[in-house]
Amino acid sequence: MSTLTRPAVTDGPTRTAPRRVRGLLWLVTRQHRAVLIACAAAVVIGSAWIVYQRGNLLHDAHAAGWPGTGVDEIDGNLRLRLEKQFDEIASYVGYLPLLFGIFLGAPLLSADQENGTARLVTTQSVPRARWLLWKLGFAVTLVVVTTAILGTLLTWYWHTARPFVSRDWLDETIFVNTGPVLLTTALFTLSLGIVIGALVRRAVTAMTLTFFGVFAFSVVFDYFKPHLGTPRRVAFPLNGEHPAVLDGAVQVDQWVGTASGKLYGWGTCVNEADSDACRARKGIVNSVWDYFGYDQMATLQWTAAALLVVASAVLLALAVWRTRRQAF
Amino acid sequence: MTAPGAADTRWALEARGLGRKYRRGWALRDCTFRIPAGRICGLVGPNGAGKSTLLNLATGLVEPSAGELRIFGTPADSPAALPRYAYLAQDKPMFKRFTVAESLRLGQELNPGWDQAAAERIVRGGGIPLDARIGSLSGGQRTRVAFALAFGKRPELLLLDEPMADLDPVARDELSSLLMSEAVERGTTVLMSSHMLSELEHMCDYLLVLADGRVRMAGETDELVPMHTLVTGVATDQGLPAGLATHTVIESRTAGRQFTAMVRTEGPLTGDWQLAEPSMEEVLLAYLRNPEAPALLSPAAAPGHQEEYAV
Repeated sequence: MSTLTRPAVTDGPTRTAPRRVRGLLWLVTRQHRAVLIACAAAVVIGSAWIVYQRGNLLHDAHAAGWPGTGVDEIDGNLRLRLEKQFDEIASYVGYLPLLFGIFLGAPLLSADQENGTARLVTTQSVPRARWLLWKLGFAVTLVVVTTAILGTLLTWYWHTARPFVSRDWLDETIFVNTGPVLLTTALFTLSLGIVIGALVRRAVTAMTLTFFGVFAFSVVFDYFKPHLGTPRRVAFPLNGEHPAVLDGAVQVDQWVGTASGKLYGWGTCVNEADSDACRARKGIVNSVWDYFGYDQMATLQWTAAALLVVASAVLLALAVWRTRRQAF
Repeated sequence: MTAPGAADTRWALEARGLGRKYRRGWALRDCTFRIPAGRICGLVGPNGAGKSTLLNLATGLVEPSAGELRIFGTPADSPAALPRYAYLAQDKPMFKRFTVAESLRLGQELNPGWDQAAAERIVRGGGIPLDARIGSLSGGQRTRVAFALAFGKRPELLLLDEPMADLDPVARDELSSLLMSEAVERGTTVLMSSHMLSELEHMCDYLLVLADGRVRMAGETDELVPMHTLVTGVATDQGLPAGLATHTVIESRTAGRQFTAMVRTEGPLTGDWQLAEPSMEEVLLAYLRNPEAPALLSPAAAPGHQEEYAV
C-alpha cells in the first residue's frame, strides 16, 4: 500500500493507522482520568510511606539493640508501636480491592450504558468488541500495576516487620495484602464489579451491589482460607514447651490426646472437679495442634491467587459475553 | 443473494424481511424497502411504530431477529459498515465532562476519515467555545456539537432519531438549515425520524412510513403524494358511492350528506365529486390514522424490482 512508501511526515494515511490504536487508548485514559490520577497518587504516596516506615522500623529496632537483643527483650511499648505502624499501612492497602471494585469495576460498563455513551462510541468507526477489550484491558492493567507495586512493597515491609508483629499471618491484614494475593483479590473484585455493572446497567446500583458483593466475598474467602492447604499436626507434652516447628506457625485447631494418639476435644476434663484425675483416667498426656507452618504461607497464597485468577477470568468472560450481544 | 458490487452502493439502506422481536412482541416485522443514495428520507410513524428500532438495527446497536439490513450493500452489523454512517441518537449522548474540543478529538481518534476542519466549522458557526464543557451547554448547542461529531465523520448515510425534538424554534430552524446545507453539499443520504410533518414536508424528498412495526409507505414524495386524491362528494345511503370501489380508499369521513375520502387512485376518477390534491401532511396523516390500509411501495423502494436492474 501507499502507506509503506510515503514518508511519515505527511498528514495522510500514514498517521491514521497507528492513531486508531492510540484512539481507544486516548478515549479510555481521558474517560477514566480521575481514577488514573487517583491510582498514580496512591502508588506514589503509598510507596513513599511504606519505604519511609520500613526505614523507621529498622532505625528504631536497631536503636533498641535488635537483632543483638531478642525481640522479646525489647521494650513492649516500642514493639506495640512498630506493630501498629505496620498494621495501619496494611489495612489502608487492604481497602484497594474494595475501592477498585466499586469505583472502577462497577461503573466501567454500566455508566457508559446508562449515559448512552456506549452508543456514541460504538457508532463511531470502532467495533463494539474492540471497545470492550480496550475498556477491560485498561481496567485490568491499572489494577495490576497499582497492586503489584504496592503489594510487593508491602510484602517487603512485612518480611522486615514480621518479628515485631504478634498477629498471625493467616489473619486478613497480612495474608490478603502480601505476596500475590493483594493483586489477585483486586483483580477479582474488579471483575465482580464489571460483571455486576454489565448485568444491572445502572452505575449507582452496580456500585452498591458491588459493595455488598465484595463484603460477601471477603466473608466467604475468610472461611475458605484454612482449607487452601493441608494443615500439619504436632503432639507435645501437655503443659510442656512448644516445639520449634510451631515458631511462626498459625494454629488451625487444637486437641488433647493420649500417648497412643487418641484425640479428645480441647475442653475435655477442663470443667471436671478434678481435671488431673479425669485426664489420668482417659490417658491424656499430650497437647495436639493442627497448624500451618510459616513455610506453607507461600503455598497457601499462591493457591488462593490461582483460584482468584480463574474466578476473575470467568467473570470477565461473562461480562464480555453479556455486553457483546446486548442491545445498547 | 446479491453480490457486492457497484449496483449495491446505489441503495443507502436496503431491508429484506427485516424483523426484531422483543420480549413483549415484534417491534418491527417483515420490513422490506430500500432508500436510494443521496435522498433526504423522512421516517414517519406514531410512537412505538418501530422507528427507533429500525435506526438501532441500522447502527448495529440491536441485532435483527429476522431478515437482513444492508448499508450501501454491506450488512449493517458488520464492522465494514461502521465508517459509512453516522448516528445521532435522540438523547444525543456525549461525555458530559469532556470539553467541546475533546468531544471532537473523540471523533478524530475513533474515525479514520475524520474531517476536523468541517467539525470545527460547524461548532464555530454556533459560537460555541471549544473549551466549554459539554455538561454546561444548552440543548441547542449540544445538538450542534453532536451534528459536528456526526458530519466530521464524513458519513455517506446520516441516521437521525428525532434530531430536533427537544429544541426551541430558533435552534430548530438554525439546525435544520445546517443539516440541509451540509447534507446537500456532501451528497449525504439522510434518514431522519420525526413527528414534525410540516418540517418533513419541506426537507424530505423520500418517505418511509412505519406503523405497528410494518412498512406502510415508502418512496419518493413526488411519486407518492400525487397517487392520492382527496375526494369530496355526496354520500349514498350505504356510505361511500360505489364508483370509488375500484380505487383504494385509505380513509373516509362522512359528515351529514357529505363524505371526504383519501383515495389512492387506480385510474381516472369518474363521478360527480370535487377532487383536490392533498398535501404530503394530509396523505401521511391518513396513513398514520389507518394502519390497516394497504401498504404502498413505489417501484424504487421495492427491492428486487426488475426495472431497476435493467437500467
